[in-house]
Amino acid sequence: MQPRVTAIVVAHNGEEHLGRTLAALSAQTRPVDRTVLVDVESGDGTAALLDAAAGSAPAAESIRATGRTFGAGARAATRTLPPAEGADEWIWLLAADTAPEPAALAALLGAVEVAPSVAIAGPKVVDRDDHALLLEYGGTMTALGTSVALVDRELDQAQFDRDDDVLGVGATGMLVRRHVWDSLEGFDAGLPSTDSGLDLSVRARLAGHRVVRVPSARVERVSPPQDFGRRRPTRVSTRRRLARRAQLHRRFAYAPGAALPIHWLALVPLALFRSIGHLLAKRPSAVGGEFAAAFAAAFAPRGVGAARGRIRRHRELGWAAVAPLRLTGMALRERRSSLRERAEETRAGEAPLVRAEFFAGGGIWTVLIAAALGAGLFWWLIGASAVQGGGLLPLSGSIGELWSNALGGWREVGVGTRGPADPFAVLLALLGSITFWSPSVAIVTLWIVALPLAALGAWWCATRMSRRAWPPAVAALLWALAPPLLVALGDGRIGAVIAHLALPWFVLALIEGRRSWSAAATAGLLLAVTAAAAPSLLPALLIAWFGWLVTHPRALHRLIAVPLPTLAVFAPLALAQLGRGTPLAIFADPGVVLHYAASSGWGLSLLEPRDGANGWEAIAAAVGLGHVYGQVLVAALLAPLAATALAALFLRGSQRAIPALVLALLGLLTAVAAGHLVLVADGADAVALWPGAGLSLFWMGLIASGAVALQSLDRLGVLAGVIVLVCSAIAVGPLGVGLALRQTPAQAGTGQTLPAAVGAQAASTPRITTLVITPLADGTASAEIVRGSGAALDRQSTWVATNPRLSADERRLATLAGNLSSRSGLDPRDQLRDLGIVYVVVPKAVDGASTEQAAVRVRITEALDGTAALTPVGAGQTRSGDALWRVPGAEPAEIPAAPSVAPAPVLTTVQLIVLGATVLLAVPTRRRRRVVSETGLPGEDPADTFAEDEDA
Amino acid sequence: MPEPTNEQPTGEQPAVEQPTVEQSADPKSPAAKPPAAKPRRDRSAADSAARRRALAGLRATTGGVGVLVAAAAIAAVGLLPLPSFGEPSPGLSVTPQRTALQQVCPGAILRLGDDTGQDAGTATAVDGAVVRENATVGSVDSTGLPGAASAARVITSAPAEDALLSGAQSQRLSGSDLTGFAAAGCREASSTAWLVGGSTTVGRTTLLTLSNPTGVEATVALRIWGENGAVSAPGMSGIIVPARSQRVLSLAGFAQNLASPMVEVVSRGGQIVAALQQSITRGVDPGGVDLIGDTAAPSTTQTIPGVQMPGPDTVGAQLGEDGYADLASALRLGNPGTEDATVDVAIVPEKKGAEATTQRIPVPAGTTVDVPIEEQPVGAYTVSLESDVPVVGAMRTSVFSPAANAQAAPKTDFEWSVAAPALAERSAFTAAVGDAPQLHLVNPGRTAVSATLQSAQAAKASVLEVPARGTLTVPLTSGSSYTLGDAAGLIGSVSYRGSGAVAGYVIASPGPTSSPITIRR
Repeated sequence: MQPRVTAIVVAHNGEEHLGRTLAALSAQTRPVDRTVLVDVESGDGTAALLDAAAGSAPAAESIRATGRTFGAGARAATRTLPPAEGADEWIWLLAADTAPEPAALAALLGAVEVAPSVAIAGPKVVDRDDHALLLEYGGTMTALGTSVALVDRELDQAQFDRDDDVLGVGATGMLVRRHVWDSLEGFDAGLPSTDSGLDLSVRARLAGHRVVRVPSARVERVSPPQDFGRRRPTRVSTRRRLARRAQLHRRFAYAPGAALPIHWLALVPLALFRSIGHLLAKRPSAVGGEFAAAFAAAFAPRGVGAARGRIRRHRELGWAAVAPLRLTGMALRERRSSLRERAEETRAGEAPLVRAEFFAGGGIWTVLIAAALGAGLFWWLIGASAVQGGGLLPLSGSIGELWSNALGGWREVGVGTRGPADPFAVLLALLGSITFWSPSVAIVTLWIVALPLAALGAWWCATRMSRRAWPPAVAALLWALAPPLLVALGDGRIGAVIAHLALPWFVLALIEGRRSWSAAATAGLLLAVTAAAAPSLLPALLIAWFGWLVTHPRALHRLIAVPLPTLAVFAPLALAQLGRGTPLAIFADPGVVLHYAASSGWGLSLLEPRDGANGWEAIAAAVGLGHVYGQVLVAALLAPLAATALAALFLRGSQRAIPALVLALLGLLTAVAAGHLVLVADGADAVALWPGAGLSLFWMGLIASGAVALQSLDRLGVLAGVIVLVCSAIAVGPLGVGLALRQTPAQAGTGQTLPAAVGAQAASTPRITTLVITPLADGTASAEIVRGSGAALDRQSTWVATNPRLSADERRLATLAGNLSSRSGLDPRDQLRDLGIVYVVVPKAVDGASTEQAAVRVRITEALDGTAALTPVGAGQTRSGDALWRVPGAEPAEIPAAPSVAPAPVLTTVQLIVLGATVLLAVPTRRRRRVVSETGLPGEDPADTFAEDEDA
Repeated sequence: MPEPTNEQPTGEQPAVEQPTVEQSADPKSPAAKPPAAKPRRDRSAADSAARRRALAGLRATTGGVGVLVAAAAIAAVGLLPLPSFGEPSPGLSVTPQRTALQQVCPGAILRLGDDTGQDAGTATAVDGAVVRENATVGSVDSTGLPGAASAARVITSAPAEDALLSGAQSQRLSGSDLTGFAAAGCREASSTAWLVGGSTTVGRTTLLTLSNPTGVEATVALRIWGENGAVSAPGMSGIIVPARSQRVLSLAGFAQNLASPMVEVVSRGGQIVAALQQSITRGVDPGGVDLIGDTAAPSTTQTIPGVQMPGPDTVGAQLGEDGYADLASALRLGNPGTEDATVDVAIVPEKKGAEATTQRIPVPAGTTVDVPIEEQPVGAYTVSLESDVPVVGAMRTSVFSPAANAQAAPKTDFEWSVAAPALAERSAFTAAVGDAPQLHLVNPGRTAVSATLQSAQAAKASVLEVPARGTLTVPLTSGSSYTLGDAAGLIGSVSYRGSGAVAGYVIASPGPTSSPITIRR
């Protein structure tokens, strides 16, 4: 009997392409016997067009359907047809934008006529503009049920024409036997677009029929099937989500009943693992879709029961019958690797990066020179177990304590308060975990390798500023010999040192973040590190990030989330400070509060963080000149660098120098602002923020601009670079000499900050409590509680230090200390026992103490001697010069109740998620860009042919 | 942020999903360039020259603007005065809880050995002293120092606002070996005391009493200087005075035959009250007793108020006798420092209109000097010392009445008047039981001071006008206590003078260790 073909055209807002489709349908060499035109909730003139077409053609009718999916339209159409008369009745499914070639139906029928077992036949789906480009031509599943397209956007060279039998074909242009369609009840309602054809084919196969694809039949298609029923074309992430949703639905439909609970429980964990995989593969937009699909499948399954019922009713064969048609093993791996290669090839079209080589272009030499300088300056630290003095204290002795101090909750500094941890504590915990056997050694190592690390970072960053090998070397050495860095190393300001080391890496990552996900994520992490180490830089760096974002709007999706890890890390502290009403305290420098003599505005612009012209004033005074000559000399020594930096504006490449100089200006303004913001007090002196971090940024801007100028100056650039380097090295000469001769506050230490008697007992009783009363220069005293073997760097807290009022516990402690320091009628025994104090220490007198300080020290020691509640240890004077008293009979094991409040779990979870996702995204998994080093000699430009538009 | 120029310019990078076929349509790709480059270059040679000029002009402009902005920024940073923002937390001013007022009265005169002369290593008290004490607020609790050889008493009064405690003791002896009148004020414990007086030559016994009223053991170190320099002897440091007890040491145990000793007592741990007791025996005749309290700390100016000179008639005749050399008035100057001192001594009579006697005495470093003073007319004098180097000083005066008959002993007594510290605004003192106590107030300053004196029994205070650089003497009621007000900067002492009796003690203000202290974070 002659096969009867009914063409079903389902349209939704398709008036643009409908004309072409209908024309192609009527131009078929083998005409269709009946046409059903379905309009699915269209908003435009589709319905009218269909009505007109139905009216003009015989055996055509136009119906309306609801449901906005292709399957719903097809089902509505088949319901209007009279019942099937035999096995030779076919339906041909088309959408509004799928126009078949004239010979398509003939080819399809030709393939199925001679094969009665075939129930479904699928054509080649080709691109409208190029009929040789195959969009889709059959699909299959892997062993786990993932649908794989056998052909995806490949040129048709007849390489696929041989294999006809496939597991499934797409729904576009599918030719289905009517009775099979009716018995299988059409497309699964739970698969609106993706995998609908595959699912029908699988069920047809399970029912014993065959599914073939026909090479000579071609159907055009304009938009992918996922776009059906949507106002706008779908994005890649949406398509991925729909595919995952479809896969989960099919998994629930196909799985044996006993395995269903396991699949249901595994939904969210699987989504998590797959999200990690997406982050590693730099597809962060897929994470949301992954979880959306998992939750939708878990809590809003669409028709899983009906699908299972359908399969059960019509299944003739087992899954083993379709197993040979799945794509497994070698073939699957081949397919995946060829997809990867195609993706890489499109990326390889990017231009290579022209920069100096690290090993061949002088980078390694620069780092080695900086390492030699570092070893020369810090020879006295080699072999030390801790570096102390100035702003440095040892780290806590154990990793557990380091990390527990890094989380919020009970802060052990002072009397002990509940409060958020500094972000800097996380940095210290990471640092200390590197040398987990003795955390303080990490700081010693950081000090020794600070110069080569700085040179390394600056070299890599400067390779993005200039192509030649010479300017990055100059920039690296200048960065390693930066005055703010050397001052911070000498004073023991570890936050400023870490910020100085991290800045060039951050700028490098931000520059590269325009084109690379992992670079953008790294920029986010480095911004968090820099901000944690030196919060005063936060405004300037955010302005810089915003400027970079605005000038590169195309990279918005990569760069927009750079501040996110910083927000996550600062959130607890920021919320707490805002709640207390001290929002500016977010910018407080972490670590030990250290007093410094503020320098003037001229001094800040000459890169002096503190008074003294970085040592030149003392030299000028020693030579006999007035001490203003120190600043004049520094200005003269830094003038070549300033001139070079400003000259970059006039030379070729000025468009790179402008952002660098803006960065320098931001740094200078940050330094000035920091120097005038007073938040904490060191004893009797109010201490402003450390301007050195802003000066590091200032220095970076100058060096970057200078590198651009050196690049443009060619031969003259070599001379200029040498002059700049020599003058800047002389400018930091006194600082370097001071470091090498150990004239600085930071000194090699043993890790002990309290007398040895306390330290010895603290080894066995870690929570032993000591009251330290320190006489201050203006005749007052400071009282603090120290636990364990001494103050530790990770126990310091800006939350406590920036409290504008004394807390109730601090007032209690101050009253006790005040009474202990005087001849008083208070019996301190109860309060000493409440606070669990075992030792009282008055630190040894510093050299150059004022008379008030000496007088108050005498008063305090006499009063402590005269108290019956304390007994002197070691005749009241230990070998280190500290005066030590013990509370007789104090139980060291008597620990004051530390309410172990766990940090807010929600906040911590959010923090961990944000940081974990950023770290995964930052792991580099793609191939690097090609790197080409400049082959020209200085003076020789590269060929103009391809670089004509460079100066724009 | 700089645009890296390290890449050759290309067009937009196609999205990954687009097929590689599309790249061939990219108009700027290198493959498309060479055929079109040559004709393009010929045509645009003039254009590119013009463009270069325009670019150079643009660069010059941006460069100029940039230099101006940089100069303006640095000038602004250097010249604009910016205010500081933010205020760190102040400290807490802690006023120590008032401690109970406590003073120690030295107790009875001691003799080495008991009445019968046995047990010469132990000091025993001779009779007892009469103690008078008073507290301006509340009551006074007077207890003996347990185990104190001299039965020293500790007077305590409860802490109260503006409370003052004072006490004094006196003892009159008329035995065969010890006669005389000795009076002393009750003093607060302190950690440093300077004692100028005494002698360890033949017939002169000097005992050092260290009384520790606190609950903490005191570790005491002594430094002794004599006319030949510092004395070092074993046992001078590490003297332990247990809590609430007294130790008595003989000065001769450290330095024998020292004619003019001076002692510095430094204690750690508990604080002590140090005092010297001196008794003189000339042959078989007793020569008097005295209790010497601590003198003012070394300073370049010292004032010794209330010196009772006997007059040339009584002692002058006796001076030539054997062993009576120290009946003369003498001024002992001590220089504990390392530089030689030159001291200007002025002996100013309290009587108005009388002339002062001045001398200039050099005192070598680390020694004491006993300067014999010419006998002035009888009366009270003020001795003021001015030195270039911190010194301490005390004045010894005596009284002498010849024996009534051959069997009786002459009635003689001596007294060490020590330098007094400046008084605070308010102080209290008690006049011990004795004959004719007198209050001497010296005003070393340039402006007259109006002080008030209120007796514990009287309702009203009397106003005392002490002239600038002058002295005021007021008779006191024996045994009663007084409060001095508005007396900041004055120097005061109480003196007694009777037949065969001379004694005195300084008035001291409470110590400064209970003032508020500011404690910071």
